[in-house]
Amino acid sequence: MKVTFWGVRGFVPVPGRDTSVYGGNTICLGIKGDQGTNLAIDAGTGITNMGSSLMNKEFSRGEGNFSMIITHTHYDHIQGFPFFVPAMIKGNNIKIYGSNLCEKSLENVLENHLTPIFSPMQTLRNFNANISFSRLEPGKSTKIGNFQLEVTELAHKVDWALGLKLEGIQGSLGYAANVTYQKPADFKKAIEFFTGVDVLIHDATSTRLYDQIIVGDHSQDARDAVKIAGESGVKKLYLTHFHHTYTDETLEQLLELTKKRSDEMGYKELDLSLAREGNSFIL
Amino acid sequence: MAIDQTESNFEKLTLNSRVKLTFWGVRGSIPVPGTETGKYGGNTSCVQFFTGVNDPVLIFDAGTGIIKLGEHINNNYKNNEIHIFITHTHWDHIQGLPFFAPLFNNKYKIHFYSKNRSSSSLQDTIFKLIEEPQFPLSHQKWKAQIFFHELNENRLNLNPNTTIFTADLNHPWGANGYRIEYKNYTASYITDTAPFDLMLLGKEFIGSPPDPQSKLSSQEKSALKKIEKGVLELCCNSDAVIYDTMFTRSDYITFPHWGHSTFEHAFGICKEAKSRKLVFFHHSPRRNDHELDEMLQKYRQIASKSSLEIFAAVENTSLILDEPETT
Ligand SMILES: [Zn+2]
Ligand SMILES: [Zn+2]
Ligand SMILES: [Zn+2]
Repeated sequence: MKVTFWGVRGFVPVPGRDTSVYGGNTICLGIKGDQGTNLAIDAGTGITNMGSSLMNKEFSRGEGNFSMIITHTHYDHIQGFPFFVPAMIKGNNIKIYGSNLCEKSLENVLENHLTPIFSPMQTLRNFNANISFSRLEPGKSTKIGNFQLEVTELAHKVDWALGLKLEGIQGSLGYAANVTYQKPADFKKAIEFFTGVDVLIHDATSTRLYDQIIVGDHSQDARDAVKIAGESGVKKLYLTHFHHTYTDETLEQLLELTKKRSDEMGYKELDLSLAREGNSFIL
Repeated sequence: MAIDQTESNFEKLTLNSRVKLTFWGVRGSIPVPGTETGKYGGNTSCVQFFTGVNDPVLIFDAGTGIIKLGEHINNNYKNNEIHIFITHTHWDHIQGLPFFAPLFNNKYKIHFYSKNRSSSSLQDTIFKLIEEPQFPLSHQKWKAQIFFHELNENRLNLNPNTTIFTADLNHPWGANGYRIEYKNYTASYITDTAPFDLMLLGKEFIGSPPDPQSKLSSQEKSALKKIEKGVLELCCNSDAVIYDTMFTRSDYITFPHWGHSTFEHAFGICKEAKSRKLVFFHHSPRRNDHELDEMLQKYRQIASKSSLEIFAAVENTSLILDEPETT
């Protein structure tokens, strides 16, 4: 499986020279399976570039199949969807996965995002592709192409924030963006879930209270991510969902501080990197 | 090829007391981070009419550009009064608001304005914008004093030096343009609007886009004429007109229902209105720096025989308004 970072920001997109190295688009991870399965995890503004990259293939002819997993419904995880070009083309099938834990369905949230007050698209019905929704249930495994997907509910302020595990033939990937662990039990749950994954992509911001993230009061290293990766026995950790006020320079400091923290915590084996927009790796 | 905007007209961000339009966000539709847009900028719509650090802060629209402006206000400005004029509540015109720093500081008085609409109040829309499950910090966390004003008249006397005028635009679900008169200076802010020929917007569309070839009814024609007249009045003899130029003519013919205008149309309006400067604005997220350079060059050539000067809005720069001749 090929994994591409199309967007690595949390909260709000940050264009500008300060963010040109690591990128300013909001969160989106692209996955391509060896047998051609195409899927995205989260639909921040990064998904617009992913959409354009798909357009020279079956998607431009209206013969594409695409899956989108939304891990929670804050804007930074859905705001790229209205600009995802394959969704405009008749014949393409877009399947959107959300959680069954929320009161409001994901379809409802997206419709609300697209209402005429907020968007000239006005409604999901104005997208020409076949768009369908499916709810993921914790503890149940879902097949997407050649992948097996498993989800869990992680600690977060809103209704739900999913952690997920994607199993392919050559290995497995863990993903958790927008988590705010508060109690020891929150950590325990995540550690149990991610034990055994080969690569973990995890939120870089560490705080106990979500509000504090917005006002900038949070730890300057990604200690929560390190703890989860270290205790789960993960070898490779990518940090993502960066705070919107972090410039390229701040991010490099974050990496240094986190490496130091990781050594202090005794996870000397842990290979730690920053997610960088446009970069890919093969699993 | 890089084109310099005429040096004497533009400056980098400074706090000198010249009257100017500062561009904090220049894009339409969606922010576009990346090196391809590094010169003109990738933030969504936000323009400031600057008169000095001791004066009330005047802002048009609250796209992502307003985030940086918020820091700037917190750090540099002496006046605690902020006025934000919203053209309409499409995402690209309000999405920076939840991150606007002065909202979280109790020393500020922040006034929001938009045209009154019967279907929804500005306050409801903005409060709804920042509710779970879409956003974690509701308006209850705001510390500034907030006032909402829905404009029923086309004219607002803001203070003895400043008058605001407004008129309807041709855009899905409606939008309104602004004209600001400050002492003897005038500027106009016209976004988002389609031209006034193929289609009258405002109604909901479902499914396939409406047919641009279908004939307009006489009612639609006269409604479009009325909108055009209003826009011409906002731009009349203006020192600088900031205009939605997201589309080329062929974009407009393909997407007449998206409600965006063209370079040619903006040019025509400004000539008819005898405006002095036209600033291309609400750049398409798909247009990179190179393409914008080319557009600017092309239309400067076309305009070379007229007295209208043409610019393209560049993020983090200001267009200085000429000192009016005293009579
Ligand atoms: Zn997020
Ligand atoms: Zn717009
Ligand atoms: Zn609009």
